[in-house]
Amino acid sequence: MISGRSSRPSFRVETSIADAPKLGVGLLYNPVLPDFVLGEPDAFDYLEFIPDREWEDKGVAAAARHGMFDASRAFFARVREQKPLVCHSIGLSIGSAGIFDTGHIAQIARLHDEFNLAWHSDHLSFARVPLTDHEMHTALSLPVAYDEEMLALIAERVHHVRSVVPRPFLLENNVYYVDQPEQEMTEPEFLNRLSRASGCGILLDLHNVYVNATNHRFAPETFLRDLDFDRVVELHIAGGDMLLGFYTDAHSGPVAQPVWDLVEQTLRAAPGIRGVTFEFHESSYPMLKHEGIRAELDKARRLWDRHC
Amino acid sequence: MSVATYQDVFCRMVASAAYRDHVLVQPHEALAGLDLSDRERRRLLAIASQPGMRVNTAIHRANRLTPLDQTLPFTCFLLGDELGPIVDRYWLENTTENLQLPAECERFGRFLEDRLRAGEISSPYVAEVLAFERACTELRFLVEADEHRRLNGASDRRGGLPLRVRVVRFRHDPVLLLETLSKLEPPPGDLAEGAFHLVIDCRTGDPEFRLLDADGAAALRERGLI
Repeated sequence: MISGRSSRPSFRVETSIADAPKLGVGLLYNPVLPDFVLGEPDAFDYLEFIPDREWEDKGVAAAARHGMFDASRAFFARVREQKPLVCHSIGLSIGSAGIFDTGHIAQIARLHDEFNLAWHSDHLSFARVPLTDHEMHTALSLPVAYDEEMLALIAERVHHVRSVVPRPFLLENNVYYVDQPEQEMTEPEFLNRLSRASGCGILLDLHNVYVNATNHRFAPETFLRDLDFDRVVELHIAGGDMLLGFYTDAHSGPVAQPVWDLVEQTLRAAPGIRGVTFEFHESSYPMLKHEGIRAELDKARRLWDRHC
Repeated sequence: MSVATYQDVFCRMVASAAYRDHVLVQPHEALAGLDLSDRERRRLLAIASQPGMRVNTAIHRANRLTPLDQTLPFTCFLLGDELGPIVDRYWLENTTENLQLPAECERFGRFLEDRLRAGEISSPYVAEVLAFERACTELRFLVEADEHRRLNGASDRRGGLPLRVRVVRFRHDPVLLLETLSKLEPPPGDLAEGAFHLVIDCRTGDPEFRLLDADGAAALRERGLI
């Protein structure tokens, strides 16, 4: 099923990851951050935001489907005067075999027209499945199976994304709490091949790697060793906590200490990376406060300055 | 394409522990007639048996609760022990289409209105606090262009109130009620009843609240605005 409407021409030249500018240290926006963003602009080099949280989506069947909230438009226009913007979407569900939402991609293109995004990204996962008369959203990103069939499906979709949005497009390695047996490729192999075949960059979420390594008992270094760093454009860093005996990607509080070690290793091995983004969930703001956010960004900057 | 069916079953097992158990205990019955390869069947059985699925389900539930808690925190607080069974029923009857805050707030709000009409909610304050929080959410996530389009239609029930202003009717003193709730304390059970009208005014950005006096309420009522 292809859903959504796209009236945009598809003859644009696809942008490669080489076109991504080197930005530095970034911060993923959330609703508790307006004061920090406007009050401490020297703490970060770019602002990343989740567009799906800043627009209304009336559903794939609606004619005027998307509308950006007035408060969001005003805020990001103000930020854009001082800082580059990057968007990190959660809504495309590019790995859904039964849905390809071209309307979502067209909306990202409109967002780029308005805010001149440095690049944009989404997750290598699926969260939406079609039902008889509507969709089901799982409310979490589930891993795709790393098989040839899925590789071909997603690569074709990435080409579409790149033909519609004239900015580098990245896909993020996913968290998984269950193993899908008999997969044809490892995760790094899938990411490398997908990136080469489709032209997308890799958004390497080092906390996700750490979460998976912890829960599935492998050394994160082996994942990094197998990944093609030439395809990595951006790093995500975060913290997590325990739930039902698993370490989760909860984005709670400061960056997990082992993740800092992975940042150091990665930047040392891949100085061409364009940005390192700190993400935390708004519910952990009482723990972090402005000082805590600043401390994480400063720490990222020290590593960035040392290696990049 | 069988991978679509595979993903569909995977999602259903995340959303429902009962369905997951059914797949695990009676796989032939649960997966009968589905377009799945042998490998996909083996994968689904392996997934169903892993403890990580409990984590997926817990995160699924937490992420579904988040938009309700972020837009209707006082309502959720007032529901107390009733909240668990209510959201279970809500989620059973409403698969999530998207997790956007205003959309989920509206959908859950309508569901609660039905529960209120059916007399299934015990707190006497839920109806008015729900109306208040829905109005706040509407204003917080306003898309002015859409609102203008809507108001140009025939169904303008707000009839002349400024676009960024709402008036919510309370049966109990909203100042006492909302101040208590903002401290996450249960309101006293004997708040005096009356007719109160709280104005939520977002014309300058952040919301400003004020109570209408009797004359103001009468004037608005005469103009059919409340």
